[in-house]
Amino acid sequence: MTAESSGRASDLAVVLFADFYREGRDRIARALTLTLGDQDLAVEAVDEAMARAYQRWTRVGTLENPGGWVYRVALNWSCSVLRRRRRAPRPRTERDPTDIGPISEPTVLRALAELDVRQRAVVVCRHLLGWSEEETAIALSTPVGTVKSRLHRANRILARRLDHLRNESQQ
Amino acid sequence: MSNLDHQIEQQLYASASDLDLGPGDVGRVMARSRTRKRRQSVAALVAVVLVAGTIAGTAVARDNSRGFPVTANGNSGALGSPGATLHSGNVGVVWEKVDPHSALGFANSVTAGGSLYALSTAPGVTNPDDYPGRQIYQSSDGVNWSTARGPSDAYISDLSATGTQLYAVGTGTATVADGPFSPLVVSASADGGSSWHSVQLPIDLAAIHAGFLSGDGGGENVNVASNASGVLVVAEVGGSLDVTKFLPAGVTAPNGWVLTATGVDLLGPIDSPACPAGTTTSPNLGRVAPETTLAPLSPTTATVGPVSPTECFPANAGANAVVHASDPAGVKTVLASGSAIAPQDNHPVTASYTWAQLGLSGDLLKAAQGEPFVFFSPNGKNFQAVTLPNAPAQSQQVEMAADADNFVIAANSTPSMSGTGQGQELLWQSTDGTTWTPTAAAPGDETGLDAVGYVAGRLTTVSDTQNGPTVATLDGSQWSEASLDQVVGTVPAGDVVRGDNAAIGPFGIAVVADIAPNPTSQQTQAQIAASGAAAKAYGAVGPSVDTQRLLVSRDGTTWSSQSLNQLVGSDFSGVVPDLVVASNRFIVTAQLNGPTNLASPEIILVGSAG
Repeated sequence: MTAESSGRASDLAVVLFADFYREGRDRIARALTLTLGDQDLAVEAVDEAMARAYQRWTRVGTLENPGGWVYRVALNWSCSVLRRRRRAPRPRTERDPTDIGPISEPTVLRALAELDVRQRAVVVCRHLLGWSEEETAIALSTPVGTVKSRLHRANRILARRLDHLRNESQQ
Repeated sequence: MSNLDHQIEQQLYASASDLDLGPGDVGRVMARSRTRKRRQSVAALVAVVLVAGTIAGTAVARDNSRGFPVTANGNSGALGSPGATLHSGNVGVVWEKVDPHSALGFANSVTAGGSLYALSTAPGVTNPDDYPGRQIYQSSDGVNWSTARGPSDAYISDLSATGTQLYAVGTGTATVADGPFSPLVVSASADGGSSWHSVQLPIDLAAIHAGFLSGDGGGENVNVASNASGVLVVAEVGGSLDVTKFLPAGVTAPNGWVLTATGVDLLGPIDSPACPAGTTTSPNLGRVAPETTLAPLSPTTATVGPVSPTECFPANAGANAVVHASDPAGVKTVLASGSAIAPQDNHPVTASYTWAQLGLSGDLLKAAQGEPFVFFSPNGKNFQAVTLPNAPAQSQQVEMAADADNFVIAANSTPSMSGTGQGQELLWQSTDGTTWTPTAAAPGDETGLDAVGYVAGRLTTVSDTQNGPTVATLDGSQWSEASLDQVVGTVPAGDVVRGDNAAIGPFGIAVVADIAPNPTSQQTQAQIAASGAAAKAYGAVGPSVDTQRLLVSRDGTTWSSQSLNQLVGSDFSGVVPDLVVASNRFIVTAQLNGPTNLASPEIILVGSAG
């Protein structure tokens, strides 16, 4: 669909959303992939969340951080999908979809896999998306204190696993 | 920032950058949104006898509504428009505002036939923290809802009810033979959801998945409609064909491809400017909101795949410029519209193959061409694929409805497989679900429908045209069209009326119309300029909606218009996610401003005869 062919309620909104999508889709999908360990699910979830954002664009577009809205909706959607998969009978050959994805290297990702998904979400929002603790709290609809505590716990685990990185950087 | 933090960030950046996500498709996302929006809005149309069936589950809320009567005040005077005359008047509808605790949240697929059924997450909350997934709710009045049992072996995406029969479509449990995609199933219940019988739709998803790009090929946008004649299901398959799997040995497509009406064109490297002289792919949009100071990720490796049309915008905004926002960084401008350049216009075509040469046939070919899959069953158990005559490729935004005697399917199609060109709305009608007759769409419907259905036995559509929301009614082979901006009420100078949501059902037609500043007007631009650096990014002006009005009609001719802000109250967020016209009432779900930007509570307005 192009802005011209849409002819919808607001060509302007179409253009603005398209711009937001172009700017944000890959970045959020990468972050969600690291959160979930499932790239296919993450990409699908972000498109789902983007569709919902477009549906509510007159509201979502005015948020301080629409990317946070999309990340949160995509994360929730993914978790519901994972829960459904977990409940549903699975063929024997299927890898447990709730496992962290195909992470072998580098070390940070392996360490990330030791965190639960909520801790991972906080780490990714802070360290990859660059959101402040407050922005992360809004995006995840979680109190700032919870974000801080999850981040603290996550960092402690990461620090333990990644101590060699600190040593390397100091050498 | 500690060294460890820095190392973590670097590692995360590197890992994220290494991901090969594949190309995004904003058009598909918009279409997905629009299709869902319309699906939520359109109700199946059948003569309704409320069912006093046994409902399994727990009562969510009863008798806790805080209703207040609001008489639908119409505007006086008859107003006409080319082709048809609409009147403003009292349509005899009394509105009741329902307590959020008994209203449905994040609902879609509310049926209008038989009992009312809806898919919803939870009462009153759009996006609860612990997203519980949707389940089926049942109501006899649209006010009090109780949970109903759904099929245990399927994830439901749409519902339809006829008399005592409830039908649900969705995805079932995948087996090894199904591959990664779950089969599409239709479940039927004759006892209000206590027991279900499910059947698989005869569609070869495994073959489609095998021929599509990784992760593509799943069923999506599965819709159902029903009447006494039977059950109609339409499924759209998402994704793109992986042409490389079908090319002759030794042939590659390093620069991607584009589908044509007869097959595939392989493309060479771009050999001319992406956009014609004087246009650009990068309009001066600016950012919608300050996102982050995150450094851009490294470009990912180009993914071989379908090449999308290029959106080209005038390089110099000139008279076409639309100032949409001011922020501390300065005034941003956007352009009202762009145009699409087909991939073949800026890439050489290095080779072409027909579908037969590629060996594509059956469901895989149908899915590759973007045709919807249509199935019908007279009893809800044995589904057969049916053909829509003259169905073009690349149909999307498929919508469907039924009344007691008719089925209708609507789809929007682009004339070229490359996705360029003006969309075309297509309609098919049937009385038996198996034999379909193409029906020309109303002239104003070329940009897609907001609602389709039958009013008093006549095919009726609501669309949002360049002239604002328009209702069209088919008399024989002749369409009568009328613009609803004539009955919306007073529209301030410089403002425009746009359709936001619409539904058609046995009780009539409902339309949500936005009255907002015309973003292209000089007055709006002057306001924006006056707002200066204090205005936040585009929230203060531009596409934000100033006023929303609820237009309803029982007969398609006489309309009332009321302010949604007044009906809902000061907490109204401006979002109306659901609009349903049932047998004897209008049901409007409105979002309220919530404590966060996510958990928006909702309320329901119920309009009934009074």
